[in-house]
Amino acid sequence: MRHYLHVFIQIWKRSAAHILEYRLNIFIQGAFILVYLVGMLMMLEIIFSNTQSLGGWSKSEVILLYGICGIMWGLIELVYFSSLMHFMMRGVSTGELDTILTKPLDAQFLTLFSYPAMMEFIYPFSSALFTGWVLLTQHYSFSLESVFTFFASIILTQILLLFLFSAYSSLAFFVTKSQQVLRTLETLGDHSQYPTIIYPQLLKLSLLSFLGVGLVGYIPTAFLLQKLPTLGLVPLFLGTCATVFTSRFIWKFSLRRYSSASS
Amino acid sequence: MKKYWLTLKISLQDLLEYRFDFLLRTVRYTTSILMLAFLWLAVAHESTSSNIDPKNIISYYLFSAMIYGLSNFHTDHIEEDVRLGYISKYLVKPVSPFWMYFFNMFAQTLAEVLVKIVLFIPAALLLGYVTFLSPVQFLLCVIMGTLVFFAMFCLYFGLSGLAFWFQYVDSIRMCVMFTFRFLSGIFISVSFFPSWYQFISRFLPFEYMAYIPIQMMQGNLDIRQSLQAICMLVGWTFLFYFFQYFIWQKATHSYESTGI
Repeated sequence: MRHYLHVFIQIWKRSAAHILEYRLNIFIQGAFILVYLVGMLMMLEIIFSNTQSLGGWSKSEVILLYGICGIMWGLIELVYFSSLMHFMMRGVSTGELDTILTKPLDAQFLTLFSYPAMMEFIYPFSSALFTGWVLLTQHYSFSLESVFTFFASIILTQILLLFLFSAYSSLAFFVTKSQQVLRTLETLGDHSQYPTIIYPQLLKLSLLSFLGVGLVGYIPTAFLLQKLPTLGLVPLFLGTCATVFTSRFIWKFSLRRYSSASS
Repeated sequence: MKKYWLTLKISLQDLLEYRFDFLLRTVRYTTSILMLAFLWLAVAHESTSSNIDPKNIISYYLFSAMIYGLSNFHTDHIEEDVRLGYISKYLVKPVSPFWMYFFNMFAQTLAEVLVKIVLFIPAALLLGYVTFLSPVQFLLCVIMGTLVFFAMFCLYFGLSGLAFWFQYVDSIRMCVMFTFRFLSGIFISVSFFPSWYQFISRFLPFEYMAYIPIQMMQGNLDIRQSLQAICMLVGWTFLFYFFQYFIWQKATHSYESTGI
């Protein structure tokens, strides 16, 4: 475990050193995030100029959901999403996976964490600042229980999504150009900043189950705002366990069928 | 012209080679836009004002999904070609990089839009979400759509040209793209924006990229208004064309290929 942690830290140090070489890019990226945040807030403003609530959620609740969703997606993008994208684009088709398989570490671990998108740190960071500001200026009342379920759901959701996206990335073993699968989930993730409850039943179920993106902000925020009972953690826990085992099974099954593509 | 025609054909063949990729890319943006329709239907359901018509919302976002690809495409491969020096292969040959990339992108966009038209229009007609257009209105819609793509390609091509000076320019391009997505009416109909913005947006390029074409497709604009909109877009297209021309002239003038 310590060895994996050490490798993880080394990868992050290398990535941080790389982005610090191009400091101007950090400012440009920061400007983009600012435009994005302001744009999406304006969108919420326009939505709530036409209605008092959205799926039973008030404006201040949706703003909180928006902030939490930004932190959650930001962390996903920062920690492992670009590694999975890299694997889907180059891992199997160019034989890069061979170099991973020869290393004395778990191949799925390296596939998940080899290329963190350090440049994306601005997104969760600014979202966290925004959420902090929202919590200070808006008057919410949270119980100790809701805060606990909120943090527990954040951890469970992040683990679930990590292994769910990893399972999808295994498609690279069978399809030459499969990166659009993750890109589709990323695009659908833009809608996770609205309460998932507003979508039709079938779409809602899909977003909350095999697509996973409906879980990102909605579930933790619903727990925090006490819109879901504490017992709601049980299906989330079971779903997370099932996803972890399925993902590991798919990964091992795909790896068994893999034959080197490089010369 | 033959070489560019060949580029178009090869790009189409490439799309057909990777059908799963093409299908998912088409589904990806379509689903994303249609989810916005559900968002606004939820707003309409809970709204007390009666100015949100669910039928109009569905029709609007159907057209929005259809033309999304005309103004929203990624030119990151151009930036990569500049960064890695692959652009040299165009600079030393009697071809224009602008038209080579244009026809490459055009093939992808055309295929995407055509697939959506084939799938959506009959379904929307059957469900009564769209009305028939006159041949002249249809022709004007086609001209408008082509102009939208050309104008946006010029803009993105110009922005990608900044890669001659900066290591990563995708954030700049994404900034501009997001601004266009938001203000053009792809995400939200311009009619929901404050009235002051609706007034000034007539003089800005944004609404001509999505909102006005959708209005034309919905049959809400007569021929005179459509022609006016086309004239405005032609003006902006010239501006974007000269922007990319200026950037690429400046860049290629001082460009030294060092090989990789």
